[in-house]
Amino acid sequence: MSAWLHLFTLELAVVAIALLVLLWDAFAPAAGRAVGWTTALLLGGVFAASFFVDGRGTVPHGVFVRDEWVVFHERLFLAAGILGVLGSIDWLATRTPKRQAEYYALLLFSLAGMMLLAGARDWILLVTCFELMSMPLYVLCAYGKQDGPASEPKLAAEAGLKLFITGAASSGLTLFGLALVVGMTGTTHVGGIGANPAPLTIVGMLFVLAGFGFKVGAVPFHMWVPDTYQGAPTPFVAFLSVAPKAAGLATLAIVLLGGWSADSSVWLPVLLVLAGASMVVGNLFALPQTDARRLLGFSGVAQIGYALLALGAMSRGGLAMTLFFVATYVFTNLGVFFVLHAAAEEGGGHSLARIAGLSRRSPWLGGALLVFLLSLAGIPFVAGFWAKLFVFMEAWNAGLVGLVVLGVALAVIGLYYYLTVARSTYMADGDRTTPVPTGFALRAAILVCLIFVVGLGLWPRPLVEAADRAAAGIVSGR
Amino acid sequence: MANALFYLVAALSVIAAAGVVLFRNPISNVLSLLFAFFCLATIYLLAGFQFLAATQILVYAGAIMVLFLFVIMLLNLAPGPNAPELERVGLAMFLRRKSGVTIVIAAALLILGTSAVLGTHDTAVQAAEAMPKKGLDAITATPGSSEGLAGEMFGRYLLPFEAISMLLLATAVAVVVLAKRSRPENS
Repeated sequence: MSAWLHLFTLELAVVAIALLVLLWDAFAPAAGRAVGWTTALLLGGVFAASFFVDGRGTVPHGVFVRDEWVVFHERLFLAAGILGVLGSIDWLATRTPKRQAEYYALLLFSLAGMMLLAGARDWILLVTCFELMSMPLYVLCAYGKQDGPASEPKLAAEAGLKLFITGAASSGLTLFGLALVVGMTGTTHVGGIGANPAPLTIVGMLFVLAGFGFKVGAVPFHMWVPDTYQGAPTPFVAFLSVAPKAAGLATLAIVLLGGWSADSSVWLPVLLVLAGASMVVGNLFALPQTDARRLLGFSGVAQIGYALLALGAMSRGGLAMTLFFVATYVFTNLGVFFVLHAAAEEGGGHSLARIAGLSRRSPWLGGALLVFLLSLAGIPFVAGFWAKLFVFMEAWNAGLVGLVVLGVALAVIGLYYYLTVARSTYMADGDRTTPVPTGFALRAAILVCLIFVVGLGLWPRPLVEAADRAAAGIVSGR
Repeated sequence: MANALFYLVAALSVIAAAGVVLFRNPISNVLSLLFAFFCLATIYLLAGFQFLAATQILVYAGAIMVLFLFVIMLLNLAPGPNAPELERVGLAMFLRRKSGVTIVIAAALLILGTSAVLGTHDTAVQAAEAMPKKGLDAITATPGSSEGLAGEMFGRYLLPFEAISMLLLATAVAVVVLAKRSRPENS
């Protein structure tokens, strides 16, 4: 056992931080920002350590494989976790000062689940990690379920319940499907499906796909997304909207491109339908939204569609561009939600009317929001442009011309609603003129997101190369 | 004989599962679930997994279902003058409500599942049976003992086992967070 324990250094460190935070709160409850900052700094230490810890290898029986693919995802999840913690520090310290440690601990447990998930090559470990990732998220959605501006309905409990019920139902679907698959193939290894699977295996895998479809929020399994985004605490939605999506896409890649690559004629049409439907529904339903979080929820559904499209290219390049797309999406969406949070916390709501005039009150925040929105829309010289361009190029090369044309057309529609948000912050007049107060931690989180979005827009090469190396862990060859 | 028993128990478990959804009295729902668990345990026994059957009865039927019953009785959900207003569950609700989509999806799943079972030829099932069952072989090699199961759980599946322990800890913390009475935060 000790021969492969070093493979889990980073995961164990994250769990250790979670336990430390819990124990700290149990023995010396602190009301200030100390717990949050300690968590963020320790996570930063783990992130830095990921560049020095060089454990590659396979656990006996091939249950877990740690390669470039896992390393890439660990860093991505850690970055999302650090930013998620940073963005929550001020909110927690002011809203629920007496209950902070549990929030960080649960977030860290979820993080550990995601990090393990990337290397799981066994159905049992895969499902366990998925639950370890999801279970804390359900509860974090309903965190501080009694608070919020008096003017707004208390939606957090509803958001948590909706996520929980869809999550539990999708877990049930996945497990039922896996019972069929494991029963027919006789092995719990992900790669056990092989060519010419029996019809019962195929039905089982379709159940599994539907279960994972719920988790990533792809159409037609997206109903929970807008409601949950609208109701849950915004700093947490920032984390929820990126890290679990990235983990879900990683799982789909492991299962489809890694495990079931021998017979893609079954799942490829399903995947492409999911991708197309997500792009259409996400983009069109985002148009009439007046609540910024619902709008971003549907925009997230659309973005998942683009990511699935690149996954459908079924090549190493396509998978690499999925990773690149997801990585840019992580920083962009975190940034958008953090700026919205800053604006809404003081403005008393997330409706577009409430954030009107933001850029006049705080030019810095308004500018950051504009950059993030442009990145989501895919305008040149911010990260999102390269992400969309590469995704469409890979899909085009794979012969998915129709979907690429559809995607480009819908991206233009997307530009419209992203700019609607930007217009309300730049053109419309709000009812206040004082600058928006933001805490130091939130400002730091927004700044980091901004640096990554602009930096990746100007110089995407390092991340593209890292994504390409990572993709080689799943799809060999070109 | 064993085959006939299997089909009997399988049919009973389906009926019991239907009862979980269709009965109107919550106590009846829970007791149906209990019965379904016993049927499943019998199926495990027929397949030669004695330990699993015992665990199923001890953990699910014994511990979890009793908790369910406690909760339901404490909540006083049984019909009566003090019962809280609940929407009545049952077949009538499924038919009355706008559940067209549900019925279509359920029918589609039924057709899909049936056609898959019928389409999976006996040869495919036999091929699946003939495949090297790494995990299962180790368990069935020593029927009646939990040695093979333990070997698998703490060998091949040690990592998922540890992950589940983390999951349980996270769940315990999560439940406390959710259930803790919220205090007035501004005091």
